[in-house]
This record gives sequence, C-alpha cells and structure tokens, in this order.
Amino acid sequence: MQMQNTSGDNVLLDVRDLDTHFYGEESVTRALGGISFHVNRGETLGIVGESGCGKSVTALSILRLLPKLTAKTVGGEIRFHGSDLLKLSEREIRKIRGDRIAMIFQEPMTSLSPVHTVGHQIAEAVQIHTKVSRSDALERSREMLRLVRIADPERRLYSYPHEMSGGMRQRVMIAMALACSPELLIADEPTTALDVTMQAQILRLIIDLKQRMGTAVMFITHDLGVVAETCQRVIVMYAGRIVEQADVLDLFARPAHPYTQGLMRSMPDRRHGRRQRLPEIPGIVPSLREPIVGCSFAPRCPFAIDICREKAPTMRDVRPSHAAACWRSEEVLGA
Amino acid sequence: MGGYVCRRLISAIGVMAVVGVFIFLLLRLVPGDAAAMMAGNNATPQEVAGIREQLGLNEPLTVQFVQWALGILSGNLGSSIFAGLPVLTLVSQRIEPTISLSILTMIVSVTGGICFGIFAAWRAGGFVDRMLTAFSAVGYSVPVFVVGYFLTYCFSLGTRWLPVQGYVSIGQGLAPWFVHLVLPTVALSLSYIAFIARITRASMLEVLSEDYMRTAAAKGASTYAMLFHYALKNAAAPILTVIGLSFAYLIGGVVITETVFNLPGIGRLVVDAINNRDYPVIQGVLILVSGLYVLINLAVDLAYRLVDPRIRY
Ligand SMILES: Nc1ncnc2c1ncn2[C@@H]1O[C@H](COP(=O)(O)OP(=O)(O)O)[C@@H](O)[C@H]1O
Ligand code: SF4
Ligand SMILES: [Mg+2]
Repeated sequence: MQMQNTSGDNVLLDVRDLDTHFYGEESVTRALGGISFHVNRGETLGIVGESGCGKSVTALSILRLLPKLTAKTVGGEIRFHGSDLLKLSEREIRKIRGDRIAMIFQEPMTSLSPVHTVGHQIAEAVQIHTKVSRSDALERSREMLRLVRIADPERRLYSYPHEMSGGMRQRVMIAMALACSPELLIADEPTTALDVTMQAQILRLIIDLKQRMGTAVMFITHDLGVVAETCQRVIVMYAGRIVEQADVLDLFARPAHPYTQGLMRSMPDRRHGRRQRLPEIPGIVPSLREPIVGCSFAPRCPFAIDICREKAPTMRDVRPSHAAACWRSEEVLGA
Repeated sequence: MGGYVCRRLISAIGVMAVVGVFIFLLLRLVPGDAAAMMAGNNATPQEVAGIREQLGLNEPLTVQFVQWALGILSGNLGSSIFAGLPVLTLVSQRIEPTISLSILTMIVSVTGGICFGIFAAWRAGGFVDRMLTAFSAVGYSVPVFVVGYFLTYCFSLGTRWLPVQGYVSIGQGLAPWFVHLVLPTVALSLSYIAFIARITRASMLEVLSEDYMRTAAAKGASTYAMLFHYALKNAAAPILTVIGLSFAYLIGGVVITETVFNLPGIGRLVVDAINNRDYPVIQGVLILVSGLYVLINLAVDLAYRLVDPRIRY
C-alpha cells in the first residue's frame, strides 16, 4: 500500500487485502473485496460509506465474530502486535476480544442480555480476562458506570437493560467495552439508533474517554458529520472496497473521489435546520453477488469514462497522506 | 412479588376446593350402588349396609361433604375398606419407591434433555441434532411399557447385568436401591428427555441468533459460558414450562412403570385400589396428587420471575 506506514511501530492494527464472503443458497456475496488500511496507536480512524458497503463486515471480520455457518474471511491478513488475528486459535482470539480489542454495536436496545443485571454484564467482561474476585469486578463496574456518566451508578449496577433508555444502554455498552482498557475500540455506528441530542452526548463521551484512556478508536458511521467531529483520519468505503483515505481536514477540503464528493453534497448542513431533503447520489449500488468489472462506482459517477468501465482503479497517492482509487482523481480534485 | 405470591396462593386454594368437590362427588356419581360394588357379588345385605355406614353414605350429601372436607383439612384422608388402615398410612408405606423413581427420572430427564437440546442447537443440522430428531421420534411414539420390557429383555434377561424387577429400600443400601431403579428410570425418562430436549433446542436456537450473544462473544466469553450462562438463562422460560408439564405428566408414567417393574409404589396402590373399588384410597391419593399438581404449577410460575426480570405481575 502506498500510504505512509513508515512509522512502523506506531501502527496498532494493520489490515491487508481482507476478503470476506457470505455463502447463500446459490450465490456468494463478496462483502469485502480486498481492503487494506491501518490504525495507529491512540488515533481515531473513521470508516464511512452508505449502508451495505461493508463497514460492519470489516469490523466483525477483525474480531472474527461473523456468523460461522454463512460467512468466511477467505483472504488477507490482520496484523495486531505482530501476529495475524486470522491465524490465531479460537482460544487465542478470545483472549484478545474484549481485553485488547473491544467493540460496541449499533443496536443498544438488543445488544445487552435482558435477563442479567447491567453490573453483572460489565463485571463479566472484567472477570473473563482478569483473575479478580466477584466483588472487585463489581467495584470495577461501578467505576465504569461512573466514568460513562450514568447517574446513580450504585443503583444502576443492579438494574436490568429494560429499565434503561437507549442512550443509557449505549453508555453501558461503552462501559463494558472499556472495562478492560482495550488498545482498540471498534465502534460500529454507536449513535445511529439514538436521537440527535443523545447522539451528541455519546459522541462526546467516546472522544473524552478515548483521550483519557489512550485507546485507539475505529469509528464506523454513515454520517460524514460525525467523522468531522471525531476523527483524525478517514477511510471511505464503497461496495466492499476502500475508495479513498486521507486526514480528515484534507478529505473535507479536497475530496479526490467522486463518491466522497457525492457523500459531502448529501451531508445535512447542521446550520440549516435538520429535516431538509438532501440530494442523494443518484443510481444504485452494484450487486456484490457478481464480480464487478471496472470501477464499482462507474454506473453512478459523473466523471466516468471508458477506462472506468473496463479496468478497476487501484489506490494511489494523489497527495501526501491522501490516496484514492479513481482514474480521474486529478480532474476530480480540480473540479 | 409478595402480593403476587398471595394472589397465586389464594387461587391455588380455590382450585383445590373445586377439585375436592369433584373427587368427593366421584364416589356418589358412580352408577349403581357404590357400597354394593365394593362389597362384591357374594356379599350379604348386612355387609353392604356395613360398608355404606362406614362410608357415611346414609347422611345427606352436604353433611357428608362437610365431614369429608373437615377430615382432609385435619389430615384424615379416610380409611381403606379392605386393608382397614388409614389412607395416609398406606400412602406413606408406598411412597418411597414412587419418590425415588420420580426424583431420579426428573434428574435424568432435566439434565439429559437440557444438555442434549443445547448441543443440538449449538451445532444445528449436525450429528447431535440429527440424533435428537431420531431419538425424539422414538421417545414420543414408543410407550413406556414397550421400552420397559425391551430394556428388561436386553439388560436383565439376556445379560443379567441388572435385576429384572422389584425394589430395595434405600435404607438397605444405596447400591442395591440404585441398581433396581436404573431400568425403570431409563424407561420412564426417554420420552421426557425427548420432550425437554426439543423445546430446549428450539428456544436456544432463537436465543443464539440474538444480538446480545454477539456482545457476549465480543467480550471474549468461552463457548461454555455463552451456551450455559448467557443463552440458557435467556432461553429458560419455555424450558421451565415443559419441565413443569413433565412433572405433572410424570405421575401417569410412574403408575405404568411401577407395574412393569413390579415396584411397590403409589402407582401400584392406586391400581390395586381401583381393582378392589377401594374408593377412600382412590379419593385420598387423588387429593394428594392434585395438591402436588397445584404446587408444581405454583413453583413454575414463581420460577419464571426468577429467570426473567421483565415479567411483572
Ligand atoms: N448476515 C449476512 N448474510 C448475508 N450477507 C450479508 C450479511 N451481512 C452482511 N452481508 C452482506 O455484506 C454487505 C455489507 O454489509 P455490512 O457490512 O453490514 O454493511 P454496513 O456498511 O451497512 O455495515 C451487505 O451489503 C450484504 O450484502
Ligand atoms: S474511476 Fe472513473 S468511474 Fe470510478 S470514480 Fe473515478 S472517474 Fe468515476
Ligand atoms: Mg453496519
């Protein structure tokens, strides 16, 4: 890859050519078609793209949490501290899950067990990875609830999820994920299911805790606005591939891929009230069941020319620390 | 919770009262003269009159009922016409084999059924799962006495590994007691294992695809913890229901099993009482069994509350 990976020991997670397929009755869905990126220690990396572009599959592939019967990561490497997560035994990957790489999910309403208390579920995360007594684990849960700013943590420790709002449950998920002080937190659309006020609060909480604990965050979202507020670097995904990556300011100032430009045009402008209809990118996303010839964005791309439909563009640097997979990035930048 | 327990207790008492009335009327609604039937064909009129007197059939119906109900409330279930002994004494003489068989059967059925169901769900479509399908087809359709005689043929008559029939009291040693109960327990357990395993599998399968199971996996939980800790508690409500039902149906199976293996238990007591038309014994055992049913129901309802905090009464 052409991105600067030179500061090698600063790289926490290095993903190369990741290929994940889903196996249906008669067809294979190529959900990820060879994606490569890295996460540096302590940074916040944003992953954006429309729904269905493979963001969740990327996250689940890293922790090997895909449904066992229907999905398989068929190629690539996921380097974490020198070892390839894809090659670890089931036992070894379990030691990493929740302890060194933690994850929070999009659906706070269904992601907690309804029949266990919140304190119990956080304490469990601690006890799986450290030899501590039950009471010490509960003490840690209490501390975590305080840290994610849940009012009356003493009482909430013994609450069940159904007694809490969506925002509060997402705070509990964050508490649980950070209980073992992981090096990397994968946050898969953690605010998408919440209302706007709650979204802002949860975002602030994640950024704040990340800074305090020095955790690197992989922040997955379909909302470029969220990326602008939280991330240092951004990856843009389309149809199971990475189409652009750059520092966040650079990306917003000079998008080098037509898809990124389209996403920006359809961004809600926060100054102009919320509910105005946005110009969506016209056209449909290609099916991942058939091999894609040429650039996957070509059917929707205003810049498309003949070569786009024949040969898939690869990632190349358009500027320092800024790469895009587009034959016509220079024209796009100039436009 | 306290209020709920109170309400449930009151309704349980109501149910028992209704059941009591029916059991009381049983003797009075039998076509023909119950006393004459009990006395048999060769009885003299004096003997019939004596039995009628003993059963209190000469009093008005309401007086009879009040006397009978008061007797039960004070722990007097009446006396056997034939043995001349109080029903409670007869029951206590016969209770040990029945309780032994019931408890062993429930332990085997619940642990066996739940483990079988969990493994079938964990590897749905796999070997264990297909075994369960075949096993439950047999468990459901082959009656207890066929299984019983088949097992006796294989393990007792053929190989002489286990006793053919009979019972040894636990007081005379744990090993002989256990050895005599192995075949009856296995014969009786098969259908309950199948029943509990099917429901466990279905309930677990649903839970295993829930989001919170993925959360548990993301925490680094082991397969064992995922299945037995997170999933089982979430899947518990329907499983508790079938366990309760199995307990309730157990009594019928116990009667047959006791007959097949010649165990001197409550089942045999009832069968003998029916053959002899010994109504006080039949009524007494019915009252006890109905009471047990009501208690099991109550226990299952309260257990729901323990496994699922979302249930509010
Ligand atoms: N459980 C699944 N079964 C089959 N295909 C799936 C499944 N989950 C995801 N996919 C496929 O992978 C693609 C990417 O999904 P996903 O990563 O969930 O998208 P998103 O970017 O919205 O998180 C989907 O378009 C779909 O084709
Ligand atoms: S390669 Fe061609 S079709 Fe694809 S984004 Fe660039 S210009 Fe558009
Ligand atoms: Mg997603």
